[in-house]
Amino acid sequence: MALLQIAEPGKSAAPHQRRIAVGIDLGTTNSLVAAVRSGVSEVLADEQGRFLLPSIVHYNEDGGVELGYNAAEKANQDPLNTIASAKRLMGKGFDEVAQMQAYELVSGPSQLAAFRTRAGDKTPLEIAAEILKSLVNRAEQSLGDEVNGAVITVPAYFDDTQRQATKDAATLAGINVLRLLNEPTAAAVAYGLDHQASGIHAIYDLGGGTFDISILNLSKGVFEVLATGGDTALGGDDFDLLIVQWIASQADYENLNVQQHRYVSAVAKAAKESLAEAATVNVELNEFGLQWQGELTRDQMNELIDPVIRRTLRACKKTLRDSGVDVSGIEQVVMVGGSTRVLSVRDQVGALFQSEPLVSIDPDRVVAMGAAIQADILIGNRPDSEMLLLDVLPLSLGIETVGGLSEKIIPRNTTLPVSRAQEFTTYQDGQVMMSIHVLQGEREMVQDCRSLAKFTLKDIPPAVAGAAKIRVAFQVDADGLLTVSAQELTTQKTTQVEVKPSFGLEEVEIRRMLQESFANAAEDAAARALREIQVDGQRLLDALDAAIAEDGKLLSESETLSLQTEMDALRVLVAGEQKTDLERAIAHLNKSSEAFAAARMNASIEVALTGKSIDSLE
Amino acid sequence: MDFKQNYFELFQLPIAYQVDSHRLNDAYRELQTQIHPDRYAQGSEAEKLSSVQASSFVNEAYQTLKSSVSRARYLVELAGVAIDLSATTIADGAFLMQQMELREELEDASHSADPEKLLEKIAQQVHDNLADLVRSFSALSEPWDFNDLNVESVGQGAQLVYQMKFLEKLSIEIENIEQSLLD
Repeated sequence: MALLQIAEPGKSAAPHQRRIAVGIDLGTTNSLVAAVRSGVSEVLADEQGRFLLPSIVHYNEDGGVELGYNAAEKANQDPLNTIASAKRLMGKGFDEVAQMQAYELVSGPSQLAAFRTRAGDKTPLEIAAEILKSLVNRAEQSLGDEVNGAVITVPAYFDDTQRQATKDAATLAGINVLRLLNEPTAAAVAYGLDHQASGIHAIYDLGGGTFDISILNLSKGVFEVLATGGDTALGGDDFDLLIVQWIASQADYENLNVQQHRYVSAVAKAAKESLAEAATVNVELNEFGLQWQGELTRDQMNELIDPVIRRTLRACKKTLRDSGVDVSGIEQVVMVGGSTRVLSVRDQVGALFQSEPLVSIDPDRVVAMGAAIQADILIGNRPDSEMLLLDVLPLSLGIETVGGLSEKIIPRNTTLPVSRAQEFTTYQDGQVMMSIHVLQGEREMVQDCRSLAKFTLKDIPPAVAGAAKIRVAFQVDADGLLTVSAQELTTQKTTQVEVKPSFGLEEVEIRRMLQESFANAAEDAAARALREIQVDGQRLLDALDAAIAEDGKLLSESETLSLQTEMDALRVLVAGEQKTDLERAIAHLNKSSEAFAAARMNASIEVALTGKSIDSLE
Repeated sequence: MDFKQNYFELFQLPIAYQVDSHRLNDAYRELQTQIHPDRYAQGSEAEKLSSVQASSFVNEAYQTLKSSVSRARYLVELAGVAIDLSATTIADGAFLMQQMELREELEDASHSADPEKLLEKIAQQVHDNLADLVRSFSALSEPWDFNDLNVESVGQGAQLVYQMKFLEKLSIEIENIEQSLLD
């Protein structure tokens, strides 16, 4: 269980006490956890000294859950209860992925795809939560302390639903998410800080199931993403599949069953890995009723996988155009992800960018290492750090307009965070409701974009058509997550927005999953919910203590007094067990500290521009 | 949040079309270093919200001043003339004629034997025309005094902005066609 430590009431944690934060690379094939120790970012190994955790979860007959290498061993015998590559289905609707092989898929909550297992129907989000929990446990064992927060990486090209699903998985695993960080940006951080790099860099990240290309400008600790592109359903798995098809056609096998398919995939993967070193490899099938032997050369494999590599190169060219940089402007190209071990990938990427690809950091570990560095900064262990990550929105956000067209509101590659507003009006006399369909993607037609959510604006004051003015504001935060709010402008009344995510879980679903996951655990969900709120309360107190210590001079005497009084009351509640009162006090204190927060922000802007400290601004 | 100040004031730049890009970049980075949500990861919810809003505002301001088209539009709006793209009226007959020709060429290019080469030629043409408009706007707005604005001159500026937006839209269309050729 990864919950935060709670300081004794009245004795908040010392401001400079070092806190533990980790970076987690939640991969399609393998996952890793890293932390900064003595100023160095390192990937944490399990008890057997292994760094990778295969992203595989097995539900066994005794009602237990096995992970990683242990689960991988069960993949061949019990494929339907052994889930691998769940990341490919994150945030996907059942209808979108029903054809995915090798599993029994069902339509789960909110029409999300779910795996049918003996332990019940499991959404990819629940599978991811198991992996995250296991990684946090590993970190706590290895570091001998509780983990206070984590930065979790996602493919840069993940859309809003996929990001939200990842964040929900972390919530389910009880992790305090400091930030969702894009994988190529994380790699850039690891390389940038290690090599004192500057100039424009391309990060080519080909993992097991996802591909990203990001173009970044690195300068004096600022990592500015200029453009990003990719494909969230393209990776080393596709290389394996092409080799499986080749083996099947060579061996004349027409219909492989689930078990056989898994087996041949494993053989294909091993052959691919061998060909990174050897020029030819012997391929042999001798299990699950299959009997065949043959030889695969590197040239043959290169030919097989060439279409996949070409697709990645097309995405690179497109992203380069988006960034407004041409090939000659690229300082260096960095290789990330296990699939960049394939020599043909390195050769072709090197040729495209006209430079020798940089591979000096292990392509499997670099993302987790970068994430750990950012986690260490975000948790507050490096107050003097000058590092600044400016990432972008990977896919345009739009809304459905007349004729089934998508009108772009925020274009792709806009720097985050971003907020944009759009005004809408009624088209019928007396209209009191309005539906807004939020979309993500580049295509013109609604059906070619991804549906994010449908919003219904209610209580619009009845008037003639075109008289009401509704302002809908879109806010995308630094995690790349969207929130929408609406206001009726003629009455200034904030219009009620009913959010119906197209492929997302509602909070009640997450609570239910949480409850289920506690069915066999010692602690129950209610107790954990209370503890989480206590942690929230303590975090708020710590934040305000620090803010007052730093900028208390921005408050008048009476403001300080009323804030302190509320804080004292909260301190008492944090130590108690009155969940509802505690929640209410937190919400209230958040509200009453808004003006102080805004004042601090304005003071910060002044400081930035004049180079003076806040003290001299009074 | 006190964001009533205009984008030029935010970055402490003079209100003018010519912008010192080094000063703009430095001021932008300095501001984000102070207010970006990463600086408030341990802050209260109110602080996080405040930081997202401030950081978004600074991003918007930066993007607006960085691009020569949106900077022109912003300056005209600051001078009191609203730009309504849904009801564009371009009065310049010669410009309209030129645009019609470019569009016809674009239409033909998609069906030609070597579309990429033709598209590149049209893209270059659009790019050059845009650069001309930027120069014209720069010259036109040079003498603008925001305490004593020449209404007629600002109106001419607005016309130039409509023409710029027109070309910008065309260049997006060209890019889309080029993109569909790549796929």
